[in-house]
Amino acid sequence: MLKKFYALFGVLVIAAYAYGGFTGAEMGRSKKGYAPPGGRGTQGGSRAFWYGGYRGGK
Amino acid sequence: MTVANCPSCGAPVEFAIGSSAAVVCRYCNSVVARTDRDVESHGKVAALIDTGSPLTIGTPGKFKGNGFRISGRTQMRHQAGGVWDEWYAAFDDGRWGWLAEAQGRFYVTFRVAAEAPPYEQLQLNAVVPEVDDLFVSEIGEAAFISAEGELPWTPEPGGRYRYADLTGDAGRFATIDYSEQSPIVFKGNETTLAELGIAGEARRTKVAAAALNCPKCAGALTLRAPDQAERIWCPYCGAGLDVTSGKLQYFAMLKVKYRVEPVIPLGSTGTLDGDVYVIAGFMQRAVKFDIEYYWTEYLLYNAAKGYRWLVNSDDHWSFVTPLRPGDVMDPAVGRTFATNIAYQNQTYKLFQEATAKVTYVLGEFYWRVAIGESVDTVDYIAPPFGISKEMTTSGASEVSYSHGRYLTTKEVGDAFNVRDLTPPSTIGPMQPFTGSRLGTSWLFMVALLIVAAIVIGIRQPGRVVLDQSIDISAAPPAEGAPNNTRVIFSEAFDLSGKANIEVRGNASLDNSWLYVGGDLVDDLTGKYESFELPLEYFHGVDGGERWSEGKLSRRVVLGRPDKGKYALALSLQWQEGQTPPALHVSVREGVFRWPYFILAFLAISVLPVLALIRWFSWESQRWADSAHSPFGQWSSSEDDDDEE
Repeated sequence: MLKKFYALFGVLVIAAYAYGGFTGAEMGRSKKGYAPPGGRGTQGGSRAFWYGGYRGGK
Repeated sequence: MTVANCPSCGAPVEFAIGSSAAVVCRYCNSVVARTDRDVESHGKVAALIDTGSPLTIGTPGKFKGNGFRISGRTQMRHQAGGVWDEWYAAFDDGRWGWLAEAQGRFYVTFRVAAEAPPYEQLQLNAVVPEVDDLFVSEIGEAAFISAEGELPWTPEPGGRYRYADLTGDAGRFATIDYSEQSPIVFKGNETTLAELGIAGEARRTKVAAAALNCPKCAGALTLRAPDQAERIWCPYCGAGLDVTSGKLQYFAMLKVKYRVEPVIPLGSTGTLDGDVYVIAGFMQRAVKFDIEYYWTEYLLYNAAKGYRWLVNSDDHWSFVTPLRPGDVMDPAVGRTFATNIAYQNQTYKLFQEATAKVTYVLGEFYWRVAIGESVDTVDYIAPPFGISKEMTTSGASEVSYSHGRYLTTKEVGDAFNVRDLTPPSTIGPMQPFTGSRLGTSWLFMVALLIVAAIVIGIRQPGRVVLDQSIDISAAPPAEGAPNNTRVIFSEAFDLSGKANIEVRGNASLDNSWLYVGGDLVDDLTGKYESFELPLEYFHGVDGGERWSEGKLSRRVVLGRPDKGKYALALSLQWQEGQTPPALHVSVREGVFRWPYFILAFLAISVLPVLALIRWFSWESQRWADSAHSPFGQWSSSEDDDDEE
């Protein structure tokens, strides 16, 4: 019984590892977003969002 | 055929076989031996004891293609009290064969011209190179008690003969007869009646079961194996009764201070391995270490299989079968013991050695058992099996082996229909580990994980898409922002959208810091993902000791972004009043993630480690009472303290 459970568990762990490795997925959440659309229309594109005072980082 | 007259009674005696040496007169039981000119009497032998043997004088047979006819037999008494028959077979090719029968086993041997070591040099279990490297399984002295028919030698009534039995693998067997000045070697094999071409009819009973009553208390005794029992201890009054003389003879009372009740009653029948056994006898034995340890043994009997044992120690049960000594690979010589022995390609580890003593006995036995009888025992285990080696401590020197198989309480209860057996509360020496060790499964999983990691590693391009030194001081501060901050965009780079990315930053810092708040920005869509690289490096001397802290370089890995053109938006801040440090940033697409590999490795290892801990705990308990534990020397800490 334990062997069967372990076999299933192990395969799931390795499958998850392989999936993450092949897709380049990362654990944990990082801050994501979009520069405001208005900024993208200005000169310099979305970079104006940062030049306009947005400070990057988490 | 030669016919002579018995020198004792005058009755005619016939020498039908030219090479026979003596004939036992059927009228007066005199041993009549041939001489050069006539015959002479060597005295009278006692009446034969009915051993229930299926063989009789005149029985024809065939061994390895050679026909024979049984011409005579002698009866010998073992030092332990038992009687065995030696039958003499006159073969058609003129040879004599010796057919020994003991406890239902038959051995056929032929006299051979071989050297043999002196009797005094014999050692139990020692290999005898002169006799095919067989090893000594018994050294003893037999008493000649009776004979009949025509014999190839002339026994002396009342004579005692020293002998050694040798055994080997595949049933090889030999006896060295030390009755004459030069030892005589007989070699052969263990055999069966079927192999001898003798119809295997059932043994005749020598005592009628229905007619038995204890001569001491008149209690009804039902003999389970009446043809083989040597001694009975009356379960009613404790009278010791010998059976070997054809009837029950009282010889002593059981002297015990307490009564031990078998948990499975005498006479119970049970089925083990498909064979029905009856419990014929019961005894308690003990070994003494710091205290005495007791266990009980049930003698089982099946007419076709012979005797077996059911052993109960600390509520652990085992089913024990006798082994041929030659089938066990035991390197020990004499009364020593080896740390490992082998049987059927399996290694058995030494568990315990001690002198076991009979402390209580009930029922019938195939040898003359008595309270106080002791043997040196050596127990070996290979759960769920075990081998017990026993060496006699008195009388004939004999080594015997038996093979045990662990039985659960349920198996024993089901077999003998007993419902109230106490389950064990400890781990028994032969008790198999009930859990899974997962070792093989774990190795398989690790191999699978490594293969997956190798494939993943090969697929990672590890491509550097950005490698840029940034001159912070060249960039103007943002409008309204403090003077020690800048927002700088890196050069643009392309990402395939197929792998993760690693952003690495390092700065030349000296007792200073640089905070890099970064965003990976998709130039087209404005989508960004934030990260930070806090860089700092401080050092100095404090109390004469150099110290340093912080990191000049940091890295961060971001999950796979979409395919596109990207740049890093770097929001930088450094220590106020200092010049901005030099910063170098790089971006690599497709990096191998060791932390995830280690995490997966740990995940697949947790259960096997827990299983290993449980196995270790189980085995530690198993070996707790052993002086030969692989988990450390068995000792009494209290004794050690006392010595101090």
